[in-house]
Amino acid sequence: MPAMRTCSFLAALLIAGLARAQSLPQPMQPPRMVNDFAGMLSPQQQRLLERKLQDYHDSTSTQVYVITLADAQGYTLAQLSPMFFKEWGIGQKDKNNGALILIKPKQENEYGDVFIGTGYGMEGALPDVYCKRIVEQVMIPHFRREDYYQGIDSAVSAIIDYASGEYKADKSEQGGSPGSLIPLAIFALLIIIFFTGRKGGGKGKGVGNAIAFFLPFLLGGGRRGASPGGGFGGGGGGMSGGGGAGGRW
Amino acid sequence: MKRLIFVALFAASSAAMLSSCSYYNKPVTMQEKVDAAWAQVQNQYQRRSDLIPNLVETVKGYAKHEAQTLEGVVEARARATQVVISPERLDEASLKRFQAAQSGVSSALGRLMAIAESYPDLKANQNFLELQAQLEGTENRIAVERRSFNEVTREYNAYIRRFPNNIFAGMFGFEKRAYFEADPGAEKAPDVKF
Repeated sequence: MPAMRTCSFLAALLIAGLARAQSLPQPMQPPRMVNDFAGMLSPQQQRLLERKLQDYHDSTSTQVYVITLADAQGYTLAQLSPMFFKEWGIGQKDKNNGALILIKPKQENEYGDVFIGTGYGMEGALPDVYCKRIVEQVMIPHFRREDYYQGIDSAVSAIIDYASGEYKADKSEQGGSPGSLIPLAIFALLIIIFFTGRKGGGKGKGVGNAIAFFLPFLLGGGRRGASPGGGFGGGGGGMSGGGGAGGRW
Repeated sequence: MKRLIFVALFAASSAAMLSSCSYYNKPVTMQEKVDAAWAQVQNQYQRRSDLIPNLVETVKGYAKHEAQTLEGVVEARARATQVVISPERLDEASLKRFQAAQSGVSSALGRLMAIAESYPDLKANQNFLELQAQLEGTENRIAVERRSFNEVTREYNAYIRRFPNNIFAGMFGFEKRAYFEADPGAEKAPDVKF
């Protein structure tokens, strides 16, 4: 009997876990800023948008995500927006400079829905009124003609315009700066000397091995959000208080 | 031998004291989080309050005959601004009062925005459109801050009820905090479509 109870308890836990996991989709892998879950864009269009957004991210550290969803699971996009911010960490942690274009395409008997959400740090550059303006004057006219790429691309341009000069990428956000690596390098060197010194014979080989072992750590000293390899590392931990505005078509 | 027992006792009691430190510090930190979340909630309601005079003025210009509805909003706002609760006074009764006053504002605003529907000139007014966007955004923010206030409060309440924390919580006087009940529609309807 207790065994059964344990079983049902575990089952309940599992279900709860699944329900939680189901509520929001996970970011696509490898991390990217255009997450087209609803398949509204061609691969070519996704690449173009992705490049534009990542270039902007590299120069300003501002993260503008585009997420399309076929199903909002009973939530409004306005509700989903801060949830995405929290779970995905859109924007940098200390600046909260993220924005999110969330789209649910038009279906048989449902309106299409679009919402531009802003992180705490973007509310100044991009107040709700501007979001509303972008949605209604820039996006929806294109969406009505089913030109989704043009609608999203123009919205991204408008967001970049409004937010221009608001944030600059710090040196450290451009990947590991040499300054932050120096203590690490000294530490690694000490360890290398310590270990190789104790071995006695075969000293040269030992040093080589140790360097080979530590080299990846030295080079990989980047931070989340902007990996030094130039690739995009995913959300930086930003948050949103629910700012932004949306519309339907 | 005696000395050994003494040392052991001393060690045990100082260990107990040290560990009870964390039983005190942890809930204090959690309480601070609750207080900060409460401040955020009040900020967002205040933000909504600040929008109202402008909104009323704008609507008045187009819909003079709706004096009753307009007055309703102004009165509800006046009532709500009187109910400001500092975190240390926050209990079930005062939270209920706060919530009642604010939902009075919500429904008065709902009526105001509903009558706006029948004035095409008003609906096309740029100022009105912007106020409407700000109001929608504020309602979203209120919903977000209420949710996170409830979350941290629930965490705190659960923490002080768990064993052995409940013993220490009783000792140090940590009490359960109040949180928002879902009032009709408020918890799941930040989407203000007028």
